[in-house]
Amino acid sequence: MVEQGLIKMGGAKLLNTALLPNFAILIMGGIIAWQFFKSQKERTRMAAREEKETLATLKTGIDVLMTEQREISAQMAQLQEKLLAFQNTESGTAISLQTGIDMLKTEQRDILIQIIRLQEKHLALQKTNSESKISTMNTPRNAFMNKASNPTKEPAKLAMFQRLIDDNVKLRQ
Amino acid sequence: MSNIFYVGIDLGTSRSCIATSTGKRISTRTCVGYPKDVISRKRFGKDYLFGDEALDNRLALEIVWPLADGVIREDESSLKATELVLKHLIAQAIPDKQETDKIYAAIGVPAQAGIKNKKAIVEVAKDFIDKILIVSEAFTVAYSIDRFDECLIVDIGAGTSDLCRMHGAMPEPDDQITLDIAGNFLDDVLTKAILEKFPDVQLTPQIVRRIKEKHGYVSDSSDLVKVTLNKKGVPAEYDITDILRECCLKLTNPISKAIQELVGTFDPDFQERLRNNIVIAGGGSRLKGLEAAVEKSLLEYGGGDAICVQDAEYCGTEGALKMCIEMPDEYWENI
Repeated sequence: MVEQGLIKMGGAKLLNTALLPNFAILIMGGIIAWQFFKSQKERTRMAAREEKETLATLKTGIDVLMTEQREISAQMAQLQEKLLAFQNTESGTAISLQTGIDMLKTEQRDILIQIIRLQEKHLALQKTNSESKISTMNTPRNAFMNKASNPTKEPAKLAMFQRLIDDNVKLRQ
Repeated sequence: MSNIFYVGIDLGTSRSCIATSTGKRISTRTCVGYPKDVISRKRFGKDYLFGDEALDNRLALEIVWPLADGVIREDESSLKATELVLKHLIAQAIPDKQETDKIYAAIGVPAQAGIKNKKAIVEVAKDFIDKILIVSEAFTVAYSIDRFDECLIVDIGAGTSDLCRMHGAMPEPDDQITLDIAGNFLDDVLTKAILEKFPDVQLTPQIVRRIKEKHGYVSDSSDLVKVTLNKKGVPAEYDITDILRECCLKLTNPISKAIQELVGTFDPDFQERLRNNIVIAGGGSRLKGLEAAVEKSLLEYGGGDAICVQDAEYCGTEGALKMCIEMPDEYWENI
């Protein structure tokens, strides 16, 4: 507002001066340029502030995901221990060992799926925020996502496997 | 701690697929493109390109298709290209593999592939795959869908069509037929037929493949099939409805005959069960009306029931992976 008043006054006075019209135009141009530069600076400052807020939000989100991931890894370790304990138990219990192991394996699979989803979210956030420093766990992602072997006990399948192996061994002789 | 990654691979003439125990599934065209000269080498910044990327830039590349009729060609460049394709698939599917990790793979080959061909695959892959199981492609399809008793698997690929009779045990050589009439054969026949009817149109293998995959049919009736083709650079529409069906039948008729042979030479007490459990897989299973055509061919034998698998592209690959995961460790030790 002050600048606009200045412009009007300055412009009127200078324009009235018959002796210095070019000088008047120069001054006006200078005032307009300064006004433009000031508004640009203001816009840049606002944009920088918004970017900073977005980065902070992303960093918080990533920290939450990393914590969740650590909790799920701890759960997985507990499940593995349970599985081992189950396998060492005497067979006098009423519950079928196989059923128990299958249930634990299903739980383990569900947890693995959760981890995969978290990792995907993590990656997506990483891509949109190139400035944030994200530290990843030292254990490769594949170590969590790799499905363990599930050896069959079905006699028909085992017989087929034996035949397959025999053919493959002959192939290499 | 080292990991064992289990991998199922379908090494196909036209397309190769991989499925891993990490849940990754990748498919690529089985071709390698080498830059033609220094200029193209500089442009791409690499010594070779793979699959669709190679085909998109084929004008500047020498394209090598290392497999023919489902097996590796016998020349050095094909062996090298096969190795590159396999390495590329594995690198894409298991990018975080460490030095100490191991890969156990089952690789599907045509049912009647010779020992020489199977050995070639082992030779090519032994430096980067720790344990390799060579297995019949049709059997991997059966394994994928858990069908081991009295069913007939038909796997229609690009190089070969494989048929396999399952009867509760490992199929014998007599239970399997491999035909070299498959997708590539259909492409050739279709190209000739289109050029015969419309002599000046411009066709490439890629254009013909796209037509076949989008419109291919063997059913008795169909909507008009009109495709846009160029004639000396000028595009126009061409009606190929009739010739397309005629060409597709040239593929499916021999397959129906092979099915009849496998049914007809089976134990007569189980023939009805066999012909009522026909499972069709592979890219060729996408031909419209194929199940009905196969069933029609069995009317004289008492009829039949055929279904196409849902996941035509990865069915065999998933079966190979499942085999790896379900095979006990002590069996792997023998290889």
